[in-house]
Amino acid sequence: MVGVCGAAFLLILGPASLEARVEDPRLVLIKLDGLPALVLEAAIEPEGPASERLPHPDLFREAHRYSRSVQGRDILLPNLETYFFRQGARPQTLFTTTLPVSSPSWAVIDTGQPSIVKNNYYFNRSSGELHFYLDQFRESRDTLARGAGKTTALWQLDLLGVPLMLDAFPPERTFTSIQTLYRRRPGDQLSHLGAQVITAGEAPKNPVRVARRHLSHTVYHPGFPGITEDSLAELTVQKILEKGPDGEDVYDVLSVIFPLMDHEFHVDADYRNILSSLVVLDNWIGRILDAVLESGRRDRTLVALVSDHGLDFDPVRVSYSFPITRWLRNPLFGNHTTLVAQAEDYHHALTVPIQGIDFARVYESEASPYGPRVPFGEKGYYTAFTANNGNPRFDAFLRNSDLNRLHLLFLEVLRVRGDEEQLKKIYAVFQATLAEARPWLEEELEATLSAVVALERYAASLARRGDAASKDSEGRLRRESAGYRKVASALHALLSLSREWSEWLVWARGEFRIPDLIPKGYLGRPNTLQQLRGYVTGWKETPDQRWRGGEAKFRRLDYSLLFPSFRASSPDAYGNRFPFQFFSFRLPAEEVEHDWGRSLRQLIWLSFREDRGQVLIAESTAGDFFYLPVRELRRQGSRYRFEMDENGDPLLAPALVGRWISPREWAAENASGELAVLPVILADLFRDNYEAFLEDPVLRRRLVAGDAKMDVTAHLNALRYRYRQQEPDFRVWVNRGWNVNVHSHTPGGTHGAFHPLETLAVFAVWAGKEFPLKRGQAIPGAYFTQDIAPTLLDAMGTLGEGGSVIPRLGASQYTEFPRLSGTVIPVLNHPPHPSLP
Amino acid sequence: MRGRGIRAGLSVAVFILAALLGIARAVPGTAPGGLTVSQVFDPLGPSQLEIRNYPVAVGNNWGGAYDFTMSVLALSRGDRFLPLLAIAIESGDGPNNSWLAAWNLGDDSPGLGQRLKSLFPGPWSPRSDVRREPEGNDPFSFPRPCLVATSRKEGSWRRVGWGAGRRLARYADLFNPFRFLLNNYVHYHNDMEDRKFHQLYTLIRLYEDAAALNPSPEHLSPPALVDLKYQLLINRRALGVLMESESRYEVVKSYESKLRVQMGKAASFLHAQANLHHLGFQSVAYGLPGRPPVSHAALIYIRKADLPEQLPPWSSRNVFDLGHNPYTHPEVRELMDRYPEEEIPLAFYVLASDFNFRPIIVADFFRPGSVRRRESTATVRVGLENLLAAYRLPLLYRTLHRVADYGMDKKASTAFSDTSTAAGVEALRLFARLDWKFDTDTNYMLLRSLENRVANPLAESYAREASNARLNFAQLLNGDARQLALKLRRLFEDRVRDELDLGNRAIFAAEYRRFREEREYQAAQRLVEDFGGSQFLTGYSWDRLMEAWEIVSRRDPEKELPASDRFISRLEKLDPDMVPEDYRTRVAEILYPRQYRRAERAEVTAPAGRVIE
Repeated sequence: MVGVCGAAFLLILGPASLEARVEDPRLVLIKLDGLPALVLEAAIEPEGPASERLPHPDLFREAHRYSRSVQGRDILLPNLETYFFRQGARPQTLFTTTLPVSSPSWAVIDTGQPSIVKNNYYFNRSSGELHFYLDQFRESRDTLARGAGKTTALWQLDLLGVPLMLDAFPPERTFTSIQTLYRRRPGDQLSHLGAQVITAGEAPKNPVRVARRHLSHTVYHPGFPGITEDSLAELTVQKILEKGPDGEDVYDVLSVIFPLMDHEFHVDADYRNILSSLVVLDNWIGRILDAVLESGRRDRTLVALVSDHGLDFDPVRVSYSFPITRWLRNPLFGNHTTLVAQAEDYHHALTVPIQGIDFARVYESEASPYGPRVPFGEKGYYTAFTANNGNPRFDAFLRNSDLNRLHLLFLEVLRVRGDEEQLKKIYAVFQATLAEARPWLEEELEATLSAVVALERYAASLARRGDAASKDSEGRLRRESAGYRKVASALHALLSLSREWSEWLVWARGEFRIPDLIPKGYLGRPNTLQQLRGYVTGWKETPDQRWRGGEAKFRRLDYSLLFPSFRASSPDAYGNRFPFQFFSFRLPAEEVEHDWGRSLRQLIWLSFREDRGQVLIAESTAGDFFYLPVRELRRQGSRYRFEMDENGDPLLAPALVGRWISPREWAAENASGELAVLPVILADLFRDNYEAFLEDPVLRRRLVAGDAKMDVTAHLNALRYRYRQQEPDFRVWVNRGWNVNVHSHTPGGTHGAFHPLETLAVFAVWAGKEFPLKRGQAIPGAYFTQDIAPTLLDAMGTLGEGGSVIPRLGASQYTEFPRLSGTVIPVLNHPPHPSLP
Repeated sequence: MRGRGIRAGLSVAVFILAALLGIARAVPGTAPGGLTVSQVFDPLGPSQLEIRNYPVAVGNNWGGAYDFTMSVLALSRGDRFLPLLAIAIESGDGPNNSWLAAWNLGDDSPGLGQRLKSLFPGPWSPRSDVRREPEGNDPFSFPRPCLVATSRKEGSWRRVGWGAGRRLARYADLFNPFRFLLNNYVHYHNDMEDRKFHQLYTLIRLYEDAAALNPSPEHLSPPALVDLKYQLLINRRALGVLMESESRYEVVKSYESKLRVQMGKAASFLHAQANLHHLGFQSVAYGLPGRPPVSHAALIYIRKADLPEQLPPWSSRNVFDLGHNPYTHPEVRELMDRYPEEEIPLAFYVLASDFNFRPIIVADFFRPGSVRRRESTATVRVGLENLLAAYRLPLLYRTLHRVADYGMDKKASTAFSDTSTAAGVEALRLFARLDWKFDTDTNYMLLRSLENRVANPLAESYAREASNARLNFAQLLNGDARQLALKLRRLFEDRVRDELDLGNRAIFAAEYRRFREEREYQAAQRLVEDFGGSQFLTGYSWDRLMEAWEIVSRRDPEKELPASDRFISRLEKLDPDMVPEDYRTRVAEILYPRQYRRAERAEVTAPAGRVIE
């Protein structure tokens, strides 16, 4: 009966819907991780202006000639050149909107929204939960095992109701390869890759050739990225040509990512190697385009080539590593025990059998004041986590200095618990310290408890739905709330400690465990600038001298001064001994004494080396910037004061000093500057972009639609709490020639800073005849990666008025989209071709 | 400022090294500062590596002459001329010439004594006796090329032979001491081959760079150089005999890229460790000016002014492989007290190694014997393993051996490690032999120190390599290069016979012409096949493509070959927009020959251009 009804249904609706599908234009999104726009342009036109902006342009041109000669090609990149430069259209200048590292950059491109994913890591400073978004092994395993394809990065977006651009299309007509943000379970890709690895790219029916190929691979060891991506190119071709039972194309949207270039630049930025990898990439792209041209929808297909960022590199110089997690364990940097996402030296760790399959671990500092080397100290009390991955910057998450003080005092209580006189001195310091910390600890306790309740409630409502996706979300929420519950219980115990001396003494002499008061892995609220300028790292005196005189003194460090002024004993390849470029911190705008003339959204302070000065970057609520070089920011009472530095210009943009300017104007005026889009990137990075989504009525409606009884305000507060826990204390950038590393040594290029080589990204489109493409044109003006989603959605006919998104019929994940704030890059001649929607 | 520092630092190194080698006695009273004036970092200045091309004409069977070129890479400075590498080039293939044979001129075959020594493990040194110059025009003293174009996989087959020998000895359960001797010999032999490979490969890269700086059509062309490197690479492994379908450039690029990555990682590792220990790191890049470096070395130094009050702990198993603690060593302390602002060199490293990250220490300035001892541990390890291999070991011991092996590899233990140190050491020995980067005295001391890393009786000392080079070069050009000419003629004719499948027949003008035509056809066929088999745009210009098609279709007028068929299919599939206007007529003619011919006949009356439509 059901079958008959189904057949009847298909008979009635099938042809109409099939017709509608055939009419739909198709999007093929080819993502090229880490391909610098300048390198691509120079490779297409080696004698053009782009090659002059590369390091050692003569070497580049010589390598280009050499590559053509040894590869026997007259045109080095015929596919990229023909399809995207001669027949396609592209913006002349496209800057990355956010930090030029993979996860945030792709998140902005894939959503068209400001960054929610701020790093390559998810770290929660309350629960200590840590994920590495680029850990494809775990992410793929989890998406396969949980039955609900969703990566950790996507979970970050889904909680806030931030859809992907591809969510505007029916999921069953969408193919995505394994990447940081994807919904589809990667079964196809993994099985195809498995087959490719087993057969070494040979026809399986000829086992002799397969064996021969495998054995010859032992002679020269072809790179693994090449094998995986070759398989992906082949799979993409299959997917483009795949036909349904009625002979129609199966997929309307395909999104595939090729990380080859990012990898090659990181490990070996030699021009011959780079150009050779580009040739390989060009062949893959040629195969994909060839399949598009072979397919029935060739005239209604748009192929977009996108890179998330570029890389800064020097083909003849090594980029030296500053192993930050090791340094943080050093007395000079505060004796921190550090949490690390992967083994610091996976090549030498017995516990890492295969490169890339690793787990987070804690490295104890030999001189940690909380570690096993001090009386009553324990293992596992990490006080620092740094989010970095071989690139020229890191986000520092340090335990709140107040918690350090309390921890030191607890250890002292345990050490001298028999000596009432000393305990009395400790009691005085303890009460003063707790009183100082109490306001934020109480706030924290309240917020944590509310978050636990709200998340549990949401988890329970998801459990009732019973589908795989809800079950997966429920599990994630319960794990998270369990972590918060532990913290709430400890904070409650800490705040309940008696203020009365006699009761306190009884407690001090009784049995207590420090982890019950300050849990391991709990870092507390981010440090204020004042705290970072006097961060407590231990005791000044030795134990026997500590309480002899009056009050024992804490040893303190000023991180805002330490980083910019730190001088290494070995210089980098350019002879510079100062690894760090600047220390950055978001100031509470209301505490800074200055008339900005506009209402501020945020205020960022950058501290360079002493001789280069300091900078304030103000962002107005309208999104404009104000760049102000200043002298010595100091605290007076409850306010920050500073003097303007008339001659200072650490950002090397003299024309932009002291005036309000929009991000696009800034980018256009300073397009070739070394720190070109620094304010745009910093503003996006420091901004609490989640707030805008929490305020968006779309999310509220979505929550209520899911569960009418939901306490929406409590839930949004819980989310606010959750995203606040991802905020680092400060961010530090290093100078060119250095990179901040944890687990390996990256001698080639780096990205994550502001040089045009890394901030200029690739965006070029080729389209079939029915698209009114501005063929062969480079669209003038400065654009951002946030503009890519609206441009592509516009071309697909799914962009409405004012940045609204009109999902295609059958798009099940999101029915309502938050508005996109980017602009449409005019690669098409509007109005569109009449046959297009 | 930094340059002055490092100069002074190096002078200290020289002083210390000289003192340790007993040379300081020759310059009594020399203080570290006193040498500063005479020490110049990189005295070589602009490179004086040059390529000299010697035309070699040799008569053929039909009264004409074959034209070959002997291209020689040499160091030429003032009246000093040191030949290094010789490549015989056959220049008949247009701009992309090809190679016939290559000689590493510093090379020589080991003698019987050396071979006998290599049957036993021991703290051997390279052969250092002075090579005797042959008297008169000795026809048997012609140097043997390391690589010959007509026997491309010779090295791989040799390795297959040795490997088979070892396996046979194992399974045949031959008299056990014999296996011990055989394994030792094979180990030293393979090590020597590896050293020769690294030397030759470095020389070829220098040749390539020198050719890029002073281009000439007479030099070996880049594609031919890639082919030469490819042959070298596949001959390193027994499984190289199986290589056939891989792209030559891909294999070469992959090797060179891995080498650069390895050197970069080792540099970064050493630099990071130096900083963590408050030591200084100075990279020393070897290569021609204006070209990417071919090899990297590094110097670790200490400077009192950089040391913090609280010094980090120092382990005897330190990552620097230093045999002393630089913070407490009395001589280092004394020098630091006397020169607190000076950089006092501690050790010199080569960065190309087969370890993960770990560089190879080649000179420990305050404990020079430690380098030799470290290399000796490798000899002990190999000797022990070969000894154990001669006996049947219980499973427990074998398991323990595996575990220890895994642990040592993972922890990159450089003592008792059987990992080869040849990669960086051989390249640096070559550069030191050429007086690169440092002055002659420093390089001499560096060479002596580097010899400590060559514990192989089959190897040649640097002094012998230099004399080999002069002698081999003289022998190559001896008697108006008559022997060379004959050798090249034989090699070339062997190639002709091989390609035309002529057996042992003599080559005359007809065969030669056929050979050239065959060459031209093969090149055209490759292009046509490549275009036809590709699923993407291939990057060949339409001129070249049409020219190649002409050549192929002359032999295959009926288009019956699979390559022709695929070529036409590919043209059919190609989007018309992809074909430039100038070539559309020609493409139409290929795709629709009958219609085209018909139209051509009708063209007499039809307006031009209509044919294509």
